[in-house]
Amino acid sequence: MNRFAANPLLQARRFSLKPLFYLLPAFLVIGFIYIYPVVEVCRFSLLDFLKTPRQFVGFRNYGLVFQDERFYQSLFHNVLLLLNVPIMSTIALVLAVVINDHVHGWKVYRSLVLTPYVMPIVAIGFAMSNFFSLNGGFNQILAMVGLGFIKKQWIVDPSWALPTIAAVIIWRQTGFGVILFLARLSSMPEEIIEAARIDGAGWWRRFRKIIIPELGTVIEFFVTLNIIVMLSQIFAFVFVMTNGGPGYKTWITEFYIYKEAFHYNRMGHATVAAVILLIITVIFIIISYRYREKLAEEY
Amino acid sequence: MLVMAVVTCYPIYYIFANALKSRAAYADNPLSLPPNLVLANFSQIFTTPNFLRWFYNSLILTCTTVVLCLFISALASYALSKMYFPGKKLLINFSIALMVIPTIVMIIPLFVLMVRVRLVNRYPSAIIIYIGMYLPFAMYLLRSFFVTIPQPLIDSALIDGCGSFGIFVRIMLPLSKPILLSMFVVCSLYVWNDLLIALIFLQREHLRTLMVGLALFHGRFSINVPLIMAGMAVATAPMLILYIFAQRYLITGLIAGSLAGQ
Amino acid sequence: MNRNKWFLAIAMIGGLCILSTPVFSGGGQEAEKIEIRCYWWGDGEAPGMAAWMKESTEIYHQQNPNVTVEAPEIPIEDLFTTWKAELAAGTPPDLQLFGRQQGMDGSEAGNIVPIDDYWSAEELEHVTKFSRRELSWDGHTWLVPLYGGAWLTVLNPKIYRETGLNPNNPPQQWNDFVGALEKIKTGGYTPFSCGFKDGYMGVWWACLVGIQNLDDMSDLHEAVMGIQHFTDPKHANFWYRIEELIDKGLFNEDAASVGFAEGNDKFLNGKVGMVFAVQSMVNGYIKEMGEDSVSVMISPTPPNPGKLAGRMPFYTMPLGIAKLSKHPEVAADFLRFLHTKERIAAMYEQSGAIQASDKVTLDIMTDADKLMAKWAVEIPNYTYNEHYVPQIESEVWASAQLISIGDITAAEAAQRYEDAAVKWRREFPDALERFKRIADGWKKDADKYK
Repeated sequence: MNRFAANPLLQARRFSLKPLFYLLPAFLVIGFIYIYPVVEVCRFSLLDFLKTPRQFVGFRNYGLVFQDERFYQSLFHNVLLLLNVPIMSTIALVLAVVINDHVHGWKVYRSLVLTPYVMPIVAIGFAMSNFFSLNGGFNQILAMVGLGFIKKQWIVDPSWALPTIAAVIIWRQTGFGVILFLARLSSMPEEIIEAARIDGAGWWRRFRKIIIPELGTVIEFFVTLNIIVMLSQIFAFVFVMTNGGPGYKTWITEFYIYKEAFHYNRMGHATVAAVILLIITVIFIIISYRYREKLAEEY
Repeated sequence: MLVMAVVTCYPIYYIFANALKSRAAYADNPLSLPPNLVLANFSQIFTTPNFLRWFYNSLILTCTTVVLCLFISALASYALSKMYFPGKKLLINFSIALMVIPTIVMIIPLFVLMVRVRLVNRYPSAIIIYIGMYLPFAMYLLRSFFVTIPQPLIDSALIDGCGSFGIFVRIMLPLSKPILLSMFVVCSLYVWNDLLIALIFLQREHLRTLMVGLALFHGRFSINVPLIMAGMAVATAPMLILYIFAQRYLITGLIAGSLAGQ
Repeated sequence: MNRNKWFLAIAMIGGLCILSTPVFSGGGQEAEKIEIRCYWWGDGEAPGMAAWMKESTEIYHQQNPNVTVEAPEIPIEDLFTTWKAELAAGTPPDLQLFGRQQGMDGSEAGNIVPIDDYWSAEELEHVTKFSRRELSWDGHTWLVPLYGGAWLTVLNPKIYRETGLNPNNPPQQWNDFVGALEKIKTGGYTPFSCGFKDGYMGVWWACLVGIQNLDDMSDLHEAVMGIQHFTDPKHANFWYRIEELIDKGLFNEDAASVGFAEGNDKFLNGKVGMVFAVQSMVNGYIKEMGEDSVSVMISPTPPNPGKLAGRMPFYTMPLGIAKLSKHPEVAADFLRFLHTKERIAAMYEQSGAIQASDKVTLDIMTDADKLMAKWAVEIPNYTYNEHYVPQIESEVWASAQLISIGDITAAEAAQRYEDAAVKWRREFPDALERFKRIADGWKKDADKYK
């Protein structure tokens, strides 16, 4: 049957122009906020900003950035943070399952667990950086449980600053994962789990064979989301907690871009790093998209 | 599970407890409950020059962004869901793909542009960027929801002689109240808590948002931790209140994005 | 008859017009509204400055009704980027507070006009000598101090007396200084408090202690240019001094994990022997703790002192006139107004800030401030951190953080300092050329500023 006949909205040809008006504001904004900057960033990375008018210098900026040790350190720190994604996902998963099993009052737990996510990063960052300082709460707690001897200046220790930030990020993002998984779990048919339980499958078995496949797509979504977070949404944590310190031990790519652009006034470096960050992000997304397709095929 | 309550809510306790301490009490023991409640920090933070201004700025930015963003995205989602035109699929996929672009990548050219058109340190620059940042997500959510609105409803309205905009206003929007509310909450959260964009585009002291003001709130040579904690408490409070009352919507909004696409 | 009347009327009107022309055109000139914008950081350093500036702009407006001076406050971190942004847009403010000495960087030379185009030599003479030298290069004096700051060491006389030290004879030489710190420590107090977390303290150590190993600022210039090296003993000494105090446990325990401001704030709890401070902080301490708990001294002189030893750095926060300003002479006149004896006295009264001028009124000052004003005139010292470039300074911050946590040694810190200079020279050859030129000029002016 003619699809135009089925839908009256489509019948009148005069509607062919209407979509434009509805789409215009949104896509104007998108063009302005996404397309223009991406193009410009690529263009800027090929210019020398110190001279007026800005001179085209080809890939010279790229050369300078690739020689910059701080850039590699920043990327490396991002990679280290990416390693936390599996940890985070696992914790969130386990928590979600546990909460789901113990039905009583689960809504309360759900509320609690999301609380970190609604708090401003500025507030969390400030409170936590105090908490992890030498005379802050964390060392006090360690002392109270008898572990006082491992007291450290966590937030400024060169080896521990980044893990401390990672811990705070995990603390915040896990809550989101929990409610995500919970939502999926609660919409899962009870019979499957019951059947498995009757069959005598242990907790771990149930977990692996049933829950994970069911939640597969959601887990994958959460992982992808957090990969993006670890690459490009943790600026505020670093800025408020350590400002990149000590030394350059907590610089991440976003922070590198920010500093190079607004502090050192080296736009060339900043835009090159931005381009590279963009490319890396896109690569990750493509990989995860392919993986998602593969997953969809398997299940 | 008390453990979980403590772990998740600890920073809130930390902030509020220390906000109620005097400087000396904080120096003595940052972990404890305040030995005596000191309200001076709160009164002082409110009389700190520009603090209320920052609060007001955050409020204005949040409200304007949310309203405009919802409206713009609703319009676009309506077209993307219920209308047919060439390239629709492409536009849909394209706008979803935009979600992955890191904010910092966009910031530099936008900053240079804003400087050139002298929009730095003015509200519109930040507002339009916030709208842009949230738009793909909003469009995705709304489109998924609009698609579920039964066609017969629209058909009968058409027969009654309703124009497309009429349908939009009389059918699509009212039915979408829950999802719009969710988006309202999520978007408010995003704008209120944001640091990077506000930091770069609203630099003047009297234009700063609450987050930026607090992050940079230290005189060059002195610091008063309980006072800053009081500021943090005030900054966190609205979101917490919103959370307590609109929890359901927030959760729906956050997970709708991931589940709707399954 | 009618014709005569007309003639008379026309003559009168014509006469009136001619007569009123000077009034109107003169009034027209006077009625031309001039707006001067001054970007600065307000209360960022000394609370009360903003009020003083507001008052100053108001009084100036009363004296010059056609001129309105607007002085919006901009946060410290953004001051320079805002200047750059507006410069790029072609509309810089008429007056800009240069929080960093852009002179050494030389990059602002093309963007500002020298003050000596507008102020006479006698007017400039009132600005204190060392400050004036730092605001001059390329044969001109470019900037004018908005205010100055004494930079020195503070001690707690009560703790001194308790631990058997004499607060009226503070330990000036390094070994005495360390000995005093150790006595304070055995007395159960924190000897010296500072915060290294944000790295800022590293610069302070260089500016207060490190500078005393040098003979002149050309030493520092030459290290930046590569003729001397930051790993040379006279340049690296202050790192070793920091390391020494860390090893001996003479800092506060959490020095590495508290920020600069918090570290200094500890002095307020009355359990700290000494801190570094600028004058505004000193006044803050006095206000909270009373004069008998706060006393000042020139910062301790490290071993192997150079010719700049035993002096008190007095930095200035200078204002410059933009080249693109439409009314530079009015801007200069406003600066002149700010440097009148009355305004200088008002600035002290409202904010406690001391002007780098010999027109300061000593009588209205507190004892501590009097001392500082006296030292600023008699034994001033240069501002170390305005004689290198920002990229190198960032390395000082980073190294300070790392050395305080024990991650690197003093030797490594000095090496990093040197590496930063090498890197800067390699990446910014143009800036290096400018720097060389200015360093040369500095050397040539040496006799002028004995």
